[in-house]
Amino acid sequence: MHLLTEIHEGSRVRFLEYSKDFSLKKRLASMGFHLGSEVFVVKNDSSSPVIIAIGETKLMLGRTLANMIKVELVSKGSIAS
Amino acid sequence: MKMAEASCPSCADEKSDKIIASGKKEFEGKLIIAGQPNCGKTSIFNLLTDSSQYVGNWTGVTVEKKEGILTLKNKKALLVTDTPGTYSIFGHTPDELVTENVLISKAYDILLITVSATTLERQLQFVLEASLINKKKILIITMNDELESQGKTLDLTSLSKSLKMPVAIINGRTGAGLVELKDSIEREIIRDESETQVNVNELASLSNPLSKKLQEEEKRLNIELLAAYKHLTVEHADFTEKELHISAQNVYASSLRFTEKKNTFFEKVTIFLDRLILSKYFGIPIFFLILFAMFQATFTIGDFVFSQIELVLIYLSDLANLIPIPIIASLLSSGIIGGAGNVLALAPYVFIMFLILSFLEDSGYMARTAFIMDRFMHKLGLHGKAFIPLVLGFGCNVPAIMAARTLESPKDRIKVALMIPFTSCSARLPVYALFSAVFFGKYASLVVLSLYLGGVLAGLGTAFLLSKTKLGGKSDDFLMELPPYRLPRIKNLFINTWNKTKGYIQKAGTVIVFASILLWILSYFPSGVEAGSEASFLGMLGKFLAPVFSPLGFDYRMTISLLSGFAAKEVIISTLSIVSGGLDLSSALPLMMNSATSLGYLVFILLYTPCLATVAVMRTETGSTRWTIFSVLYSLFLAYGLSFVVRSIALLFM
Repeated sequence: MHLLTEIHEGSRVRFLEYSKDFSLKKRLASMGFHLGSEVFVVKNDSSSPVIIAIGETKLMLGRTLANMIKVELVSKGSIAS
Repeated sequence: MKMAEASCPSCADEKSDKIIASGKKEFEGKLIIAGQPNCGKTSIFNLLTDSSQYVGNWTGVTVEKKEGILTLKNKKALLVTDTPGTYSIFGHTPDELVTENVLISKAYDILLITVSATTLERQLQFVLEASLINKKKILIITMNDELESQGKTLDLTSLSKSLKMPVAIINGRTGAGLVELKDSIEREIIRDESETQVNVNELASLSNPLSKKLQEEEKRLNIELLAAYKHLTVEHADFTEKELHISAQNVYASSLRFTEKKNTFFEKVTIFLDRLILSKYFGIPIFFLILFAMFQATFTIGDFVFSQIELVLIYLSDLANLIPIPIIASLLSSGIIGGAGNVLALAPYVFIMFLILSFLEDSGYMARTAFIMDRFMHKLGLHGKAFIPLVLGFGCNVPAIMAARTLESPKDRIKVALMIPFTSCSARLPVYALFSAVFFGKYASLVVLSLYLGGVLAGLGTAFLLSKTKLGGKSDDFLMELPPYRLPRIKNLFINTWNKTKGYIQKAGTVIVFASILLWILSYFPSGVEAGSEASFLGMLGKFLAPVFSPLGFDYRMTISLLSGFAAKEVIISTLSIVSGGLDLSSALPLMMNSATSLGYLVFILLYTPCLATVAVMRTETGSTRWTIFSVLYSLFLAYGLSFVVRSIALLFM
């Protein structure tokens, strides 16, 4: 299990759990990002927000929020962050 | 990102209320447009209502309300209302709550749910939530051409059957499909509403594994129950959400058909643009380049148009002076033409500025500035999303402060509301344009650019200071959709820009004419004195206040102009024109001040309270009289101090 912020760009991950924040879960779900969803990490450059995508929907997540998301690696990206 | 649209909502308010009031009698139905952000709601609204639009406020809250009239083939007129975009029927931020209230009120006939085809899967959750409202509904699908280029098509019959509502496809760019949509609306408006009852059992049967449980637990799940959903226990809400998600997936899967993928050109362009625009190194320079280009374009085109209109004004003023009755000649030439006419003549600047800002919003660039500036905004205890209202402030501070509603944290909203007045709005721009052309010749654009930057710096400095107060503390709940790049539809751009510029022109035609006449009266009487001189009422008032401003080198005329500028910054131009006694401003200003003083004057105008409307909206948005008073006083002191410093330094060189 990793934190979303630790994942390299270009990786695919699966959302496993969020640390306690229930409103985050609701907000993400209404934007189409659910627990168990497979998510593509578009951008993660260690200081700017993390950009994630499912299909055509791209989302910017502040690093603090991204740090609350625990994920499982599905496939590793080639580009190092 | 449709964050705020109205240029000066308080001005359009009255008219919009009139529409609402008459709506009860005149209109044969009410339509509500709702949907998630970036789904093309505004395009649909523009297509349906064409040019008959009114921008106002939602009663009680200052979030923009857009209404328009749709006329059907049978001459029936329907009232169409656009709502702020929201991801769920149950709002999270204040602007989303507006939509929640409208939808749940059920005070409408048909709900037009707008979704974009490319992100239909997730948007179906929203559609399913909305489908629980017992109202007639039509699903409008936009951007279907984009979906087809990805090699996918939608089976509309299947979709319509699953969702139990008519489905219409519209191309927001070309308007194709509009006739069919209007026909569909015509059919729905006369249909009996009782047929619309949604049975939750049917909805649940779309998804198998959990449907039984849902059926047992919530046999009569309807919107009233769902409204309580926010207050339900975590597990319970969780369950409803999962159910919606699974239903959405099933509906989507059953209506999606695959064809041949046509092109990936657009995808490649997006990837290329984002690599550049969101780049760690190029992102910020590109942003500044775009800002610079925006100001250059505004001034180059604005200067040209303004100089043409000014010729007309001078001609009209000369004509008015031919009138043999001096009091009427003076009222017309220096009061109305000089006062309100000058303000009106500066409308082209405002128009171009709003046009460019609309372009940045519609193209998807504005949302990206949130990403680019996030890192920097953290240093001020804010996050990237807070940057967008600041940029919108270049258009008008009033909707910019309202746009701060998209921020989750109340502390952040107050902080941003206090920063915004320092971003130079388009009403200050004409003042700069006028002064810099008179005093700084070829350095004009440099002076104006410095003023803009100075304003931004003052705003950032303010945020930094505030982060040391009880508004301090880190906030990082930055969560925002990154919309795809889109080529804005020209007609949409012009409709939106015109709606905003109209506010400025209406203000010039009403409030400012009134203010100008009042100022003229004060400058012309007591009778017999030289108009605008120290002996006039206006002059006496100016003389009384002038000692306060004499350290800054401002005379009584400049002082009185600043005072009237509290109402709105454009009035400064009107006042200066009236007190300079019939001379055109280009020749009158150099007689009033030297260029160092004019620079100090501009700094003062940049920094002190932008206008009464801003103060009013700040009060309602922050909900705090204390912070509002603080903002007014703080900006006055800052204006005074920096104006003094700038003039003193400038005197050494000029």
